[in-house]
Amino acid sequence: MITLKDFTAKVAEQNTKKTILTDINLSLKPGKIYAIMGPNGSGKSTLARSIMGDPAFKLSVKSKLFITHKEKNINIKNLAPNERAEKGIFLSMQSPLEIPGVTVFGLLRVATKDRIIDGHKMKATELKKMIDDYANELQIMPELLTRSLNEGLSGGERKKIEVLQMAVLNPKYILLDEIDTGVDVDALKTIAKFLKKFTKNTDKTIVMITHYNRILKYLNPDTTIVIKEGKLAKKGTAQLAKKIEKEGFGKI
Amino acid sequence: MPITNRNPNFIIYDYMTTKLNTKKLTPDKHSFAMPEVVDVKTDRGIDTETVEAISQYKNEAKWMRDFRLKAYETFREKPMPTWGANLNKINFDDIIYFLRATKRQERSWDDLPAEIKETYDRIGVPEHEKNWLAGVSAQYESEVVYESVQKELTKQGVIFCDMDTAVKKYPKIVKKYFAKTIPPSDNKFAALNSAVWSGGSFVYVPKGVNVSMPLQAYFRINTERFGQFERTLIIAEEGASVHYMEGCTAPLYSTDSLHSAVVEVIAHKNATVRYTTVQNWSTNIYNLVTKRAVAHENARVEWIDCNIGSGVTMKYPAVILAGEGASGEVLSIAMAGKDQVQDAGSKMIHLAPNTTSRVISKSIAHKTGKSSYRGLVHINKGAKGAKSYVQCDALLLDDVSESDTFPTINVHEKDTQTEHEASVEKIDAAKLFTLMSRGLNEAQARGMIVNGFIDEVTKEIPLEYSLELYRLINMEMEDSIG
Repeated sequence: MITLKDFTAKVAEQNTKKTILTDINLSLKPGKIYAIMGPNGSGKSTLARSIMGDPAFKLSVKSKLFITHKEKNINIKNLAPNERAEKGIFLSMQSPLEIPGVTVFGLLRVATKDRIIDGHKMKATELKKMIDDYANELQIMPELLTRSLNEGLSGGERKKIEVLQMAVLNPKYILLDEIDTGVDVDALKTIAKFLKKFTKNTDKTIVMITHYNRILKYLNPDTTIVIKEGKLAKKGTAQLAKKIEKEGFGKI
Repeated sequence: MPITNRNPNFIIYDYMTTKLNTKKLTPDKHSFAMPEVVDVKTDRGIDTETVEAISQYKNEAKWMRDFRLKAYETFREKPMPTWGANLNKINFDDIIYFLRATKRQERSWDDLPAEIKETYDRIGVPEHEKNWLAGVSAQYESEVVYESVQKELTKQGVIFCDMDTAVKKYPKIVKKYFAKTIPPSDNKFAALNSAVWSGGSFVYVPKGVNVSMPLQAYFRINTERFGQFERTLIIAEEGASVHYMEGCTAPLYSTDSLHSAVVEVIAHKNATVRYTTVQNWSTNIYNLVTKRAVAHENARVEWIDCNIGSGVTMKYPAVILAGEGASGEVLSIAMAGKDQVQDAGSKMIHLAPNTTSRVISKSIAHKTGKSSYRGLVHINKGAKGAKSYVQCDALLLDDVSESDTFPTINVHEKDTQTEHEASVEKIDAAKLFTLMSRGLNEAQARGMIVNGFIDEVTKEIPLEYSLELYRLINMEMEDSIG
């Protein structure tokens, strides 16, 4: 479980002191699906990126962020993003960046270099097969995997490549920042079905930041959370998401 | 200042490690039996006598001796370059211009600076190669490979030997091409090299012959591999093709202050020559090298130039596109770390119609390093349809390093096309975050971004070199984070 207490985040840049999130209290439980909704600029992405440890944001002194594992609380507030990744957190980026000269395989090879499979260190060929299998399931054209990360890829392809990386890294906490934005109907269906299958009968937590209900049709949230102006405005069930789709955020 | 024939008890110059070693050696029977094979060197400094002594020692023909002496005069007349890096600290009187050990001394592994040893381990230089680089073993184990390569080359009529041998054995070819592409008057350091040169490679590929494997400088055993004043000449006859490779990613330790080489390449009609350099001199070295190629009709010349080491490098590989349809390419990487200046670039001279040139320059600066791209594209009148593309990208890894771009484009013909693209970027925090969020630590993430940045060039160099380069850069990144 990930717990946020009095979670307050500012922009880290020295000459701006803009507070984006104020006193968020939230628990993200194993095996549950969360939908995080809210108007543009309300702080949803900041929430996800701050959980991942993006140095672009700075948490206030009293903010608490910890993972509960076997009834022990592990403070992760001061950990680097890679250390949080080791603790099982993954963030699928809202706008995945192009990184020249870096391939999906190259990145994942370094990221998984200490992984043990069946009592031996995972071989390059085993990783290659794992990537190819997931790519096939996600209907990613093999040719795209030979390119530099996200270079010349459409929005939908980028999001699929994010999900592919997620699958190989096999995290406990899956944060998806607008996985459904810039994705066509077919791609969305593929991604959603993949996520559903991947997390079925596991205690993985999914946190979906979204503006739309369409992905929620495939992945029914246990909890809908609304963030407005940096504050947790409302918590509800899947019904709340449906209501927002109809009526907007005005009444919340 | 004649060359002194020294008793082996005296200073032994070990040119693999290029370190003066004062350890006493017991002369063995062999060296007594052959009095001419003792260790020789000139005194520090240079004058006419030094140059004469070198030529005399080598027992050279009159033409080469006269060439050296004339070049020496040119060296004296030529001013120091007033642009580029600061060269004020070069003291010409303090340099030993000629050294030769006829018998390589076996050094102890312990004699080598700890830093260099550690680097060999960390970049994963194979054991036998490591010992050879360090001068611990006298011979490289690839001798067998070398012999079989030589056999194959001889069958094809290819000549691959050191330059001194070439002057003696193939005077006709050497005379025809030597210093014709880079005359001593080209610049002060080309003049100096012309006066005191020693070692380097000579490659001659006959008409229509395709040399399938890269000719690597380290195949030349028992000859100088990394001389201070090497001279290399490569000739590819009509339709021939060859890839020459020099240097290595492992740092080369040297106490000499100046490395000043001259490399000339002649690609005849339809020939292809690729010349790859990976340079990682220790940081006390001034690396001032003149490299130039002539590409005749439809010929292609490619310079791949990776500069990681040295204190100061000034190097601008050039291609003179002399024949119609000729093409030239320079792919370069320059990495400037602490107290390093990498002033590198390229020159593309379009003399004939429909000639094309392409330059991709990737420079990286960190820890107060300075890297500059200095390039010239010249299109002569009459070079109709000439096309040139230059792309120079710089990556700064911190706030205390510098990068500059000095492009010069001279176009004297209307019907041509030139493009110049330049970019400078700092290592992107958002990219670092992306990679770290996937589980890479900061050093790994930085290494991956830097290696990705130069990928366009490294994918063109042989795999073993690009792997070593990859590890070397990752190591630099680890060190910079501490």
